[in-house]
Amino acid sequence: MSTNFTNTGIPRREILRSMVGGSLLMPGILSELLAADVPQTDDPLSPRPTHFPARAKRVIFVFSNGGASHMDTFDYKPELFKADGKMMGTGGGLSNEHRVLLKPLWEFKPGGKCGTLVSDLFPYLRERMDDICVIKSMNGNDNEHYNATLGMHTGSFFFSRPSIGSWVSYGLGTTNQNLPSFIALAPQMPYAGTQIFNNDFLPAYHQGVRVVGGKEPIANLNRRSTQRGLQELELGLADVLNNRHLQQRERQRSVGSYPQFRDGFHMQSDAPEAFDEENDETLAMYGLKRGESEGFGWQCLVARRLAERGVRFIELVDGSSSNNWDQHGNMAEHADHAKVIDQPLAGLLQDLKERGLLEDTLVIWTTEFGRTPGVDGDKGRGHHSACFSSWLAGGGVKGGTSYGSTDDIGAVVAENGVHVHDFHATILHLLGIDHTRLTYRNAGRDYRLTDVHGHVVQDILA
Amino acid sequence: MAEWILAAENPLRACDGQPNLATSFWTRPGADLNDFGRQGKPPTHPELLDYLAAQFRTNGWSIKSMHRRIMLSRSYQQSAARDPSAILQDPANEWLAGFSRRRLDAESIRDTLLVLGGNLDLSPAGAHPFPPQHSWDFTQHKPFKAIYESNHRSIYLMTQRIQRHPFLAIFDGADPSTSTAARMISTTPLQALYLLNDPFVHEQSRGVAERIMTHSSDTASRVTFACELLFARPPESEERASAEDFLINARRLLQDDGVEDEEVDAEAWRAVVRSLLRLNEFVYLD
Repeated sequence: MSTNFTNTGIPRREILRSMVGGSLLMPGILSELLAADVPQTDDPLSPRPTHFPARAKRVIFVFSNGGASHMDTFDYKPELFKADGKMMGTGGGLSNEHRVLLKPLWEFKPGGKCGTLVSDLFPYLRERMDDICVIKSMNGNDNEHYNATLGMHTGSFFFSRPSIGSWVSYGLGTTNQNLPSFIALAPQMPYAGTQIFNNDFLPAYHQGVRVVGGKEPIANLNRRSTQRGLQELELGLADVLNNRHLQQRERQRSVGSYPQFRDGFHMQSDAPEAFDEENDETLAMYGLKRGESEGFGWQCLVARRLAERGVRFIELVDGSSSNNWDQHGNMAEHADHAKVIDQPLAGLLQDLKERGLLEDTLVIWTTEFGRTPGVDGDKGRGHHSACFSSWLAGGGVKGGTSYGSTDDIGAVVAENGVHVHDFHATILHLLGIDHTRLTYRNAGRDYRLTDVHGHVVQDILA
Repeated sequence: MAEWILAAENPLRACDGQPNLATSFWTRPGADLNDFGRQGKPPTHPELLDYLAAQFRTNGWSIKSMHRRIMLSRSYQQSAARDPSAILQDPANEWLAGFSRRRLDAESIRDTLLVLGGNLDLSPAGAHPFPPQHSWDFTQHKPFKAIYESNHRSIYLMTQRIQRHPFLAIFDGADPSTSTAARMISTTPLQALYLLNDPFVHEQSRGVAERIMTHSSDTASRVTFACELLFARPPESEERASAEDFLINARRLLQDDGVEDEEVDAEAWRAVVRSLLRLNEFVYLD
């Protein structure tokens, strides 16, 4: 038996299993509970028909906190290398003042057969470019961390609204009733905190379940009772009394709401599969060592396992509100942040592909905003929502391509701009949802993820 | 128009606030909560609403007297067990032939647990322990996010616009950044995990168990007391038998596990209480 026990006496590995295992994150009786809870309506999480045939069945949404630079990663700007130290036009960014331009610190090289240029920050991802479509003309409404983060997740840059994951769960339901439809692998919190996976006005079934990794991956997952057998007895007694209560009111069921507050017991421990079942080759793909249960590699591996088991929307949060890509003072630190995600993300794409999952899994990498071509602080860059880069891979996306462009120095969109709303509309489209028809009536009007905006970017669809 | 709106014979103005008042007692209101105009459904009991609205105004807009009037009504005091023919004719209970069964809202669940555990603090709640203003260095990188533990009623919990209190979030609490006309009721695995493992639930269970054990040393009267305490009714004989069986099994299990003799009984009773707190009867009102 494993020697690393938690303070509750449950082997750490067993908890991990329960986290990544197939049927036990939620009690198997969930669908039954939900059916009983909402009489006269369908299970809110049952799979729903799409508006048109879907290209992707599930989403892995990777969000890098702080704002990753575009001209240092996926948007090659040779003119900016030449213009280092010069004052040229507007530097862009927070104040749009004229600033001294700063050249990117990393060389660009072509990757894959397609030859998409990627900087030396992402040597592993560069090898996967044949699967990736880079959007170089992303733009948003806000240069502040909080607002940009909120906007990228909810389509609203100011007010709390349902997260894109909640919208997808609401629109599509889920195929595996034993797992939540929306899981956020978020060891640390981004700027907008829990708002990024909040269901807001959508029903709570569509709330993102936060998984943190480590000793207690989900709040209250660890058994507090010292005695496993005792808890089983407790649940037995509750069952007997609940059933009796239910029988007495059988006639009333058409109008009553009867969730059975039962176990979650299985969630705590048993699992059909173990983390250990991953072989060394797979672990190596993610840059993981056996037994590691934290870090971005672990998040990526768990994301694949959850995708395999039918979870509809999986969000991976990279960094936090205090440790992230926000390099105002020294761009060189981008290297540390890129190193954290490069190999795991490339491993995730490779692993999904080898298992045939990439065909109907949409993998997304995005961030808050880009960074200014002009220098900020000593050797850093400022916030820049006027243009930035993101990428899509997998289900229904044209791999090995780029879309849109920025001007010579990466200050403004030059052609084919993709606003955050367009990005959302395209993601929903790939899932078979018409973003103008996915609505929820709240406070007297129908709300949408894309509000009154959004155009599907047809050119990137395979 | 102003005069028309405020005219003594026009109950419209008072109507506006009144359905919300009525809703705090009946889950099925006489009107749509958010839409009083053409977008909303017409009320099922327009005359009743008009009458209550007129009373509301006559009584000097007193919310308290409106509460009293509603709670003393025969409709409000009905049981949730309706006649089968009433269920057949009016499945959604719009005509209020009985009480609409409802789940306790998040705040009521927490408050009830505190009361039962003997831990509800009824002293004035006072100010929250915010850090002194000179020490504030909150930024977007380091936002102010605090949860102040308290044994006061949930209404006194500190509410932050940018995040829901974690407990309220689990049990469908209101979104603090906007107005919420009606709470949703959902049943999620996070709720099950909370009731299973959260330290707060365990702490209150301990309090309830102590009260039960102090009440009597006799098992039968302890079971009676527990049932009356939690469900305001005496136990039925089969329930009594189930509880007593459970106690026997739990004690045996704990003894086998080497738990100290004087702890066995207390631990077994805590387990009983934890079970009872997970019952539908605890969170649903008939």
